[in-house]
Amino acid sequence: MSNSIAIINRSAPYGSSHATESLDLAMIAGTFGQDISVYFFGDAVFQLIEQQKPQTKGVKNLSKVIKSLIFFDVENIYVCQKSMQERSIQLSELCVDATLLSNDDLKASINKHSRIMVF
Amino acid sequence: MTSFTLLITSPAFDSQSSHTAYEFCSAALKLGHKIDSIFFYHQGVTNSNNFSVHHSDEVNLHQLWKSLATEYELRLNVCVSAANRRGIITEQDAEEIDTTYYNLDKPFESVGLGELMTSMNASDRLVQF
Amino acid sequence: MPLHIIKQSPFDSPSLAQCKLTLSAGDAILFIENGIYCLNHTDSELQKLAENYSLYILSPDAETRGISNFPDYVTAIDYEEFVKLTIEFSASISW
Repeated sequence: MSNSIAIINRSAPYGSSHATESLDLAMIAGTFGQDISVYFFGDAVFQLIEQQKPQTKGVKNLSKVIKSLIFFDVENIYVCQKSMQERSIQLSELCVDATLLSNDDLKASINKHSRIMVF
Repeated sequence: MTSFTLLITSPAFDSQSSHTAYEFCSAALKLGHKIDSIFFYHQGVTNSNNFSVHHSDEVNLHQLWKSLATEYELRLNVCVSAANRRGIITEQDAEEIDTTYYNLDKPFESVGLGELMTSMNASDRLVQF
Repeated sequence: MPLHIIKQSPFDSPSLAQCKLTLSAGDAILFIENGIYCLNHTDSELQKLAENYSLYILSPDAETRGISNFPDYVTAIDYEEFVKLTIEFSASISW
């Protein structure tokens, strides 16, 4: 519990800078050896879609960024089951092997953290 | 006494949240608590912009942070990448892009995100605004 | 046990709805900024929520918005009490 970090993502990708700067933060936290969990909740589940193809040069493909989290020692990636269902997204459409959480599991998981940030 | 890291991710003028953070910070200090650092990230970096000019009868959050920081020796940390992306640069950044003007100056400090980790690890509480 | 801070209007943001999905026994909710308008949002059923969770409202933000009569299931607090709440709870989530 002591210094564990939870980043709750709830913003869709590309429409704003939330996803980009939240993932930057997750990577730095991982690099600094922090105990970190990253949650994809609400519209943020769209960040996990495998088939993203940004059409503008210089716009990062966020699915690739999320896939690279593991190289920064960010291993705990969770996705809200209810948010997926609401948006008709199947597990097979996701770019990473994220842990699907029911509502109760989501609560329990988030509550383990003492530093919680929302993007 | 409790120690805090305050993370500000909302813009200075376009949202009330930075002002809430300022009031929260003032109240915490009045109560005798410690603010390890105020970390400006995401849209919150606009709080550090020296070039924000307000009418004399309007609240100027940038100035309020400066006064509070001077009074209590607070650390006002600004994420360098988030600031640069939003046109907020230090004197050193200005030299690198060959311009004379810069708008990020003391007591605000341009730092990397690692500083946020260090501050959070030292603090009892993190509160985001 | 986090303190949930709601700062957006329930009429144009999913903040309160998302917060509700993560509430568990012992949590509290503090309404600040435009989150004050949750008091006007009948669909949010705050009274029902108050049966299981402590509800707080930041009174300067309510007064700023012309809201001074609070229902008795919410506790009006000032900034110093806001600070105390963030100490009382082990974490906070700013929705």
